Amino acid sequence: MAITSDVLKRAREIVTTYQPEPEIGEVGEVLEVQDGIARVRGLRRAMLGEVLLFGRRGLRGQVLGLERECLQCILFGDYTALHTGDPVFRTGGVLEVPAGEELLGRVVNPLGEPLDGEGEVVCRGRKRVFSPAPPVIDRVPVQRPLLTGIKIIDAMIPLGKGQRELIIGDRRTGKTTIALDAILNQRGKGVFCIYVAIGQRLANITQVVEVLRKYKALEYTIVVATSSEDPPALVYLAPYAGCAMGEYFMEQGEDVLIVYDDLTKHAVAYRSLSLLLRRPPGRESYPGDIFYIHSSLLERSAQLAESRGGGSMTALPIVETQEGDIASYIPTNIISITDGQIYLASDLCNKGFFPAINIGLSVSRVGGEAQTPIMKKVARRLRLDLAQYFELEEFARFGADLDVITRKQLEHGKRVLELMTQTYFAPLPLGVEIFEVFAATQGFLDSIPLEKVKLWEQQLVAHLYSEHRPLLERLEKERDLTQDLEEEMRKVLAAFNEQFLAGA
Amino acid sequence: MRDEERVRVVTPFPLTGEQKDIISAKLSRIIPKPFTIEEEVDPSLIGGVVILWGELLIDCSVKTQLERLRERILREEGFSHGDHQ
Amino acid sequence: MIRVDRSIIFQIVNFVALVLLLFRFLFKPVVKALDARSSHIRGELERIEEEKRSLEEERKKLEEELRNLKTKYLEMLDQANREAQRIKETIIQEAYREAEKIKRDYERRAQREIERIFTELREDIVDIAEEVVKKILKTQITPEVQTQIIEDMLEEAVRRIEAEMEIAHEG
Repeated sequence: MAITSDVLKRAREIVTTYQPEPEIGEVGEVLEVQDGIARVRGLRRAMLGEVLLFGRRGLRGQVLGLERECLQCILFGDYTALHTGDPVFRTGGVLEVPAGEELLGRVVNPLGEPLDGEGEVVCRGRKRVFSPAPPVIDRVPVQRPLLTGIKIIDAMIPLGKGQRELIIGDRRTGKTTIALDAILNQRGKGVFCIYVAIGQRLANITQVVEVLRKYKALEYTIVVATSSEDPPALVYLAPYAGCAMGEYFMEQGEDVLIVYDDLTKHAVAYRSLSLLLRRPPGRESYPGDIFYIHSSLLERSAQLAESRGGGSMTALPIVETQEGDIASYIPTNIISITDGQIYLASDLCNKGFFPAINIGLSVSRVGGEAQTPIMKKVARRLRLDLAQYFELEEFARFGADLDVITRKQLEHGKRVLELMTQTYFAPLPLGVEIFEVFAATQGFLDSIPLEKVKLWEQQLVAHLYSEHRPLLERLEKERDLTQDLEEEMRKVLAAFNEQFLAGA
Repeated sequence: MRDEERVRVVTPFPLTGEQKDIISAKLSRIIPKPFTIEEEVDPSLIGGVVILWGELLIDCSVKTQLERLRERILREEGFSHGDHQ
Repeated sequence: MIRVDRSIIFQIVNFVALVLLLFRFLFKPVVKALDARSSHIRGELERIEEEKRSLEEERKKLEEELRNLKTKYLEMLDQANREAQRIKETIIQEAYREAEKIKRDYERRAQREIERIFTELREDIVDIAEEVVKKILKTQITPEVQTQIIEDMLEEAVRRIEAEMEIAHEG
């Protein structure tokens, strides 16, 4: 085979030109290995944050602490074969991960090693895992919308590219689902997505990958996965590795969406490491730099200025609360770092209201800046309508006798709310969202019986897709809601309502 | 503060007197205090010598050179299918 | 000779009276009835004619409508056909794109597999070469060669360390 002879020829060249050289290195010795932490003697010149090689199997670790007589290192991998006395070598380098388009569609661990059984990922680029956030001069304010395809969010808690928006709620309230919906909605929009699973159960991670695969989102997404089985050092590393992979794209002028699922588990892993490293525990036994751990991560998401390529990285960190307590340590930390939060309430879940977003407690501090002008206009009424409705709802619960106007408002509000619910993994395009919000706030639902609203929605969407695509496109593209555009929407809705009510 | 006095010298064959002298002479240029040589035999080195003083490792073994050669060869790009379309 | 009898005159008068009576009470009504009947019949005939005409008109109208419906039906059929055709084409295109994608997927996977095999192959070849070299070297390294190696390499190493130590001193 020609290939063999080529190999041999190259090899011969290398061999003949090779100059043997002695190697002068530093060797350290493993003093102690415990729960993913190793103490190393020697290697006096090793620096904080440097990557070391342990034993003869290339196990990597990082120096996190310098003690008088030894180094404290965290180990990124299976350390069960490591013994006291094993040699430790310096690499002189900091931690890097592979980065590039070759990672898209793959499931990897934070070191870039494949987890999906499809062979090694050979990447052109490498990126430092820990690097400083872009300085002020390189940034511009968040201006471009990032659409999640979820009506409530895109209308009232709109997200922009480069924003950090926290998704917070108790367990099983749909946090991951919202993040996945956002990822699914980026299909065909040229946004690279990264889903970082931090210490999740393997079953959950598998489910997520399946969902991404099923809705054809995997092809533009990187999954960085650590499970609860992985050593805490790897779990700690996961979000930073994902962030680095995202930065690679951002610096090339691309848009990135990254999901950190979830930072609560990340905090716990870091706490374990810190305690094992004998660092002094603070509030709730978390180390003193637990805030910095998360702020340094989230500050790396930004909208870069044109001079830096104009790329962006939008972060959706997820935090799990206990009993709805958003005032506890980690949640308050992250709320103060992010540009807003989407609050998922378990009582809304129990009532069957999905997505279970508590609009009152949710906010997007970027808000209107990141909305298209038409949606902005249309959503203003929505906020008012819902606010009014919630007020009245309280009132009505006490069975008070209501006058006709109030009752009408109540019924209107109920229908608006009903229309705002949405099933999972079904993100909607902007044009349809605008139409629905418009229909709701302009009273086109008032004549429809409450239990038929969802059916109405289904049929309307189908109708819009088949007959009014150009109108939908106009809604997405145009700069303002002109009279004539509004008229057209009204006409379409009136005609549709007639048909619907007649058919019913 | 390095471990003074003790220097581990590993060779594939037992040291001859001549070899020991050579080693002592050279090492004394970099090791300030008097030291003693602990000899060790490791045939896997094939040739040359490995010296361990405290945390300083001086690797002059043939084995390591072979390993480096091997790495060099395997790291070469252009061996992939792309070249042979 | 005809004897003019009073009875004849009476008979004649009777007869005339009878005729007159008949006329008045029988003939006239009968004729009237007959007339009435005939005009009634005529009227009926006319009516039938009218109806025939209006039916004819209706028939014509219906035919027209039928024709229109037929045309419309044909149009709808045509449109449906075109729509079906369009859908068919879309489906075909989709299928084609899917097939392309699958093909590219497989190509990529095949490529990766080939690369993997190549990497393994390279490693195997180098492994074998290494083994061979080691075997040979083991026999080739005489004490003289060993001494030489130590002399040369260690000298190099020591020189380097000396240089570093100088720099450290100066610093």
